[in-house]
Amino acid sequence: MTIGVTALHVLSTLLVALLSAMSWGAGETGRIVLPMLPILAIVYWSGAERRPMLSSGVFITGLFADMVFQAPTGHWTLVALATALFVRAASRSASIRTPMRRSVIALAAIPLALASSWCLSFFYTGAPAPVWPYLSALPWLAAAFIPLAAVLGLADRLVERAGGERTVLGGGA
Amino acid sequence: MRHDIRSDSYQRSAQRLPQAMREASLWPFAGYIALAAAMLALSRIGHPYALAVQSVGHEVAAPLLRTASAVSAPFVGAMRRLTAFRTLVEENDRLVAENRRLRANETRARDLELRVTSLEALNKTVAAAKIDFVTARVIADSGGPFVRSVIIDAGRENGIKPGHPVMSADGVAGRVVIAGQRTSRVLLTVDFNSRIPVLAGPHQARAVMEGDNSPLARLSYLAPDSGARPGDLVVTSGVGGIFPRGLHIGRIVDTGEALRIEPSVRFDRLDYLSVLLFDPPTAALAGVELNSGTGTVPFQEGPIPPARPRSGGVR
Repeated sequence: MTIGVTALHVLSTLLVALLSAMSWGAGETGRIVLPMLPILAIVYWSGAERRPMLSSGVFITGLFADMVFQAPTGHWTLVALATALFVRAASRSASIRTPMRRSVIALAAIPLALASSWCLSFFYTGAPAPVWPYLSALPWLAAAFIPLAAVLGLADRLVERAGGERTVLGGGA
Repeated sequence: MRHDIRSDSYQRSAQRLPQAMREASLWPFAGYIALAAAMLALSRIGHPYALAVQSVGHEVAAPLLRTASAVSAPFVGAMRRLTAFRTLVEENDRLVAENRRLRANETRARDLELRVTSLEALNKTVAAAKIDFVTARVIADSGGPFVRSVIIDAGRENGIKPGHPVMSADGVAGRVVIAGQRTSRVLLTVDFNSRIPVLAGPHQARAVMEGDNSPLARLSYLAPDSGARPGDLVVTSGVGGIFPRGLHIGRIVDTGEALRIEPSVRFDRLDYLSVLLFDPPTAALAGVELNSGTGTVPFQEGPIPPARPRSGGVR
């Protein structure tokens, strides 16, 4: 059962990463938004009540993101781990678990992920990246989380229907 | 006494934190974060291990990217057309102005070509070497805040090697940094790690184009008396042997703080790229076998090889 859930978390995130890496012709903001989409999937699965995404799953998908986005090895891995750690800790400490609460945690995780990405790029290049693309990516990512969560919630329900265990209660965002 | 109370409080907090982390199964995260940080640090210093991991990662991801690219091609195409609609009017105005300028230059270029040909014949100049090229499709974009590279679906089996220059229809796009069996990674000219010796201005002053991940590249080591001004063309100088001399890069622009280079290549619209199978002349002297391929383009005289789809039999 755990294997099925873990496979769902990992494979869905890998698929999101793979599709995000396609040459969509996005502008400067798109360059920030697209690699963050698999991080959003990790945010969704890490906030699951029953079986949150395993740290090993986060590590593997982060490494895969490094590969497909041609980033220095460890960059997206670190962003993914830091964000998942935050979501998991925040979800555990939350006394009431509702879709609204999950959405608030997810919305708080997005700026954290962007900030960690900016800091790591600063560490790597030694020069601060322009802040404006990051700020303008924020609303796009918040908006992208809703349909992404809906699709992942649908996949979760399909797995449940197929005999697996549903991980996120309440569905959707 | 106050100090003791604080000390007790710290101790209790210190005891509570590991327990909370254990309860939330967060300890494995700490281990993986340490591992990822070590990997990033190795990448930063260019450790051979990190480069090997990147190379292996490229080989692993390439077939998946090829498949995903083939499956998602209609959707990607539709999305790119959709985003292009936003700037359609602006793009059309730019193309009309450019077309007008190019028509004016065409007559002058033909006249100059005739003069150069006759002067070369008079001087018995050695004919310029021919450079083979292969054209490949862009299958993945790097994205992210600080890496500017793309993956193309041609690799070692097409004769591509690390260091080969890469062109789009508009000019120099970058150079190959990793050549896999059937895919290659191209470092774009605006990437932080890109340095290209160039000639700028009317007197062909030597300088270096330095990428800094912004749309405009830095123009470094340009002599103050070079005479270079905004609007002047920038071409490769051929120094260093990676790029042949005379490939079009872009134009000089003045940002108010410094002169910078606006690349002529639209990096957000890369579709097909041509890899010049160009080995440094010194490699030929050393007995290294030069590449041979299907397409042939004369450098220094002819236009930049146009991007051609693979169905055109380039590969």
